[in-house]
Amino acid sequence: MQSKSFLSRGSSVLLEPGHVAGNVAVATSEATHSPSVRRVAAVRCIAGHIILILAFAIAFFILQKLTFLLRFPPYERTTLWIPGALTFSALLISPISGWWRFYIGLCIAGYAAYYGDPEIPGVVALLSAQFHFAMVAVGAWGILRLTNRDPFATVPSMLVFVFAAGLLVPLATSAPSDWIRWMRGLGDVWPTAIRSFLAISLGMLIGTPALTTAMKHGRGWFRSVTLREGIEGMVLTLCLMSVGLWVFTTSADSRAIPALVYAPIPFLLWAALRFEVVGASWALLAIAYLSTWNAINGRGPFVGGSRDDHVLQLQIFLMAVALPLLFMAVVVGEHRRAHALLLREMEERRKTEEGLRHASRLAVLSEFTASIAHEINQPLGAILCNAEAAELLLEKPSPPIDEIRRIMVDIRNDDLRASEVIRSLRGLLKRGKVERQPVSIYQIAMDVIAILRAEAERRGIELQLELGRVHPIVLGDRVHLQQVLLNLIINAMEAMKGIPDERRVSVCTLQRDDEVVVSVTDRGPGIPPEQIPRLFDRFFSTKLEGMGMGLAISRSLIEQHGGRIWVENASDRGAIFRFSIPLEKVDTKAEMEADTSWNRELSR
Amino acid sequence: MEQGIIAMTENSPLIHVVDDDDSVRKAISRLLQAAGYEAQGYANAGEFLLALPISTPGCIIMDVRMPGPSGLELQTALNRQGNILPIIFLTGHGDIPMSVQAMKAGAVDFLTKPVQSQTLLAAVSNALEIQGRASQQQERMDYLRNCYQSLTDREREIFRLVVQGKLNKQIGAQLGIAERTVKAHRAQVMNKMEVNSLADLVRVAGELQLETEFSDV
Repeated sequence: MQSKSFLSRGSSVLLEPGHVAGNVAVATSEATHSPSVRRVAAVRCIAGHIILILAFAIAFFILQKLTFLLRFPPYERTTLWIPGALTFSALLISPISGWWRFYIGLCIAGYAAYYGDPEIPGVVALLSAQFHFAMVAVGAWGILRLTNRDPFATVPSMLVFVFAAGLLVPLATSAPSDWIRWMRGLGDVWPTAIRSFLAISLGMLIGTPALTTAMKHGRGWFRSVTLREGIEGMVLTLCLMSVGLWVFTTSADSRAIPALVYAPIPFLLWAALRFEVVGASWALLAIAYLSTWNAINGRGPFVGGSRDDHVLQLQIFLMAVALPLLFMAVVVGEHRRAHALLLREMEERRKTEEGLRHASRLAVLSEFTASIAHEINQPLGAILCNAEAAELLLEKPSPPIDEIRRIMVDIRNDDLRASEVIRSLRGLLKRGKVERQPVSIYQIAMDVIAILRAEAERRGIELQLELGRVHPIVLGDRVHLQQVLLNLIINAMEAMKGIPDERRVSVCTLQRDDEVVVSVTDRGPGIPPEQIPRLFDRFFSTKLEGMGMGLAISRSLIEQHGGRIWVENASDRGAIFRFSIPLEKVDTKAEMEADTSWNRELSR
Repeated sequence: MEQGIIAMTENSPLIHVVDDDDSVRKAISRLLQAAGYEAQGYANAGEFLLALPISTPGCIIMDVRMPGPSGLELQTALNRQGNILPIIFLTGHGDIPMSVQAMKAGAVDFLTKPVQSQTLLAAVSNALEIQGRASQQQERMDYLRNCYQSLTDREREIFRLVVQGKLNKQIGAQLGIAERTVKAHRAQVMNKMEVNSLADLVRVAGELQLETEFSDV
């Protein structure tokens, strides 16, 4: 609250004596300034409290006077008593240790509001303020204890709020003056008591959410409103005000249709659904003021029958609308927050999954960094030799230009070859967003083979690539599909550890109907049939050093592409892993072009 | 063979480059040619084995890791066949056990790619020097063996006994021939083996490692 901000603005050191002593010992020059600085801070602190008390008292007083306007002429009591909402809001957003300031402010304002009123002497006004404050304090304390500071967050806390603000506080606030009236024998007290109870209850229920939000967030709340919300809010206000004016200013003698009172309800629902409790509260306040003000001035649907009926009709109407609306707003808010939380959790989960995949890619790649280095080293070595040969040739009396030109061509080709290896690696090392775009299964297979060729050579394994006649394009993430193929080929190579003959892994692509099937076949011992059902589970590994993530990640990646992954044993020896990806429809011309370019590439 | 090396003399050294990587093989051959050597490339161990036997002097530059038989396996095979061409290994990432194995099997150098021309050419000239010494020795051996082959059985017998330190009289008594005849045979042996003194004859016998095989030659 305000005093708190004063505390934090003044040097906090000066408010903690022990701390000051420590500082004095350290820095004597500060010690000479200390008393005056301390005095200034103390004055600031006290001034802050006084300003807050006065501000609260003035606000309370003004609200009190404003609500007096909403009186039906013969009655002294208002139809809608808002100031109680101010007290409640203040206590809800202030720490309990600061409540005393509002107590003082309330006493001042309560006394001032009834000053000079012959009906209610100062003592009664003060007594009423005590009761009011005590009940508000009990209600606010209960809410703070039970609801983590925001009574409008959940349905149970809203129930506590309704019990405190709609029942306890109104009873305690109106009871003393009713009692005095009864003691003085001022006619039938009962209708008056009901009216004033309902007035306070309505004011508390409708006003507290609006005032709490306004006091808590202040200008910050306006800043947090997006443009779309702002426009929607303005449109809503406009609609609500026009409908309210139309409904509640229809003159009584023009045979007003009673059902017209339902006209504002859609807009109140709009406010509750879109702007939650705050919106509902402000909309209700507006409708309440409009209806009451016009009813007092003899307009609208509530003018008919006796005056007692007017007030009661109006109050019951407002209560009947306000309670369900507020609860609905709470439920909507709860639902919206739960939804946001769910979305956030899903996003976090997605990030974790991507992190895991990335880590798995890195782990796989790090296993054969030596082979990858070799793959880059080869062209680099060739480039060096070629460049030095060119240097030697240039030193000759008549350098053979043609030969040097050929050397240059070779240097360029080797450079491109090295950068091609790096390019195919870079995607796998990168940790990026999932990108769905048309990708060529051939390109993916070729890239993976390029990375793994040296490793296969090192292990003495022949890596075969059999590409189908057509050139399949699928919609997917290039890196993720490469990762799947990488995992499968490495598993296949692992499977052939200790197999002396036919050390061969073949990768085939096959297009059938509307999907492309990629298979990785090894000539290892195959998969024991009892392991097949669990093979793609997390943390299931047949390797000693395996984490059991590779195939699980592969499956989740393939399923995200709308495909399947499965395994079977070959009839004679070895295992066949297959995955399918739905085909992307591409125009045949592009397909043909891609096809011929690939055939060229392959024949090279 | 590339142009520019046509004017090679019969005995100019030939460097054999065995590497499965086309561009690396080509680049190394080209560097060697620019440095004035004759170079011949082979894509794998099999291709090189088909080119055997090689009579020209030279050396082999060989990749360790190749499809099919590795460089180390080719080295073992060549050693078994009595290869005298020195081997320089050239590898992308050699580890210590690999280089130890290669050096123990007689490799003259173990270089890592990418290799600087200075290093490579120094290794080549060192290998050629070693090969030159080896082939000189080989030539002398061949020559001595030829001389030895020209001896008659009787002369070889007398050669053996002379080298064993027997006197003419003793040899004559042992073989049952006259001392004069022994003398004549002995002069013939000295003549055919192209030596002037007994000491030289003993040395030649040592070079030929005759003592042990005397009985069966």
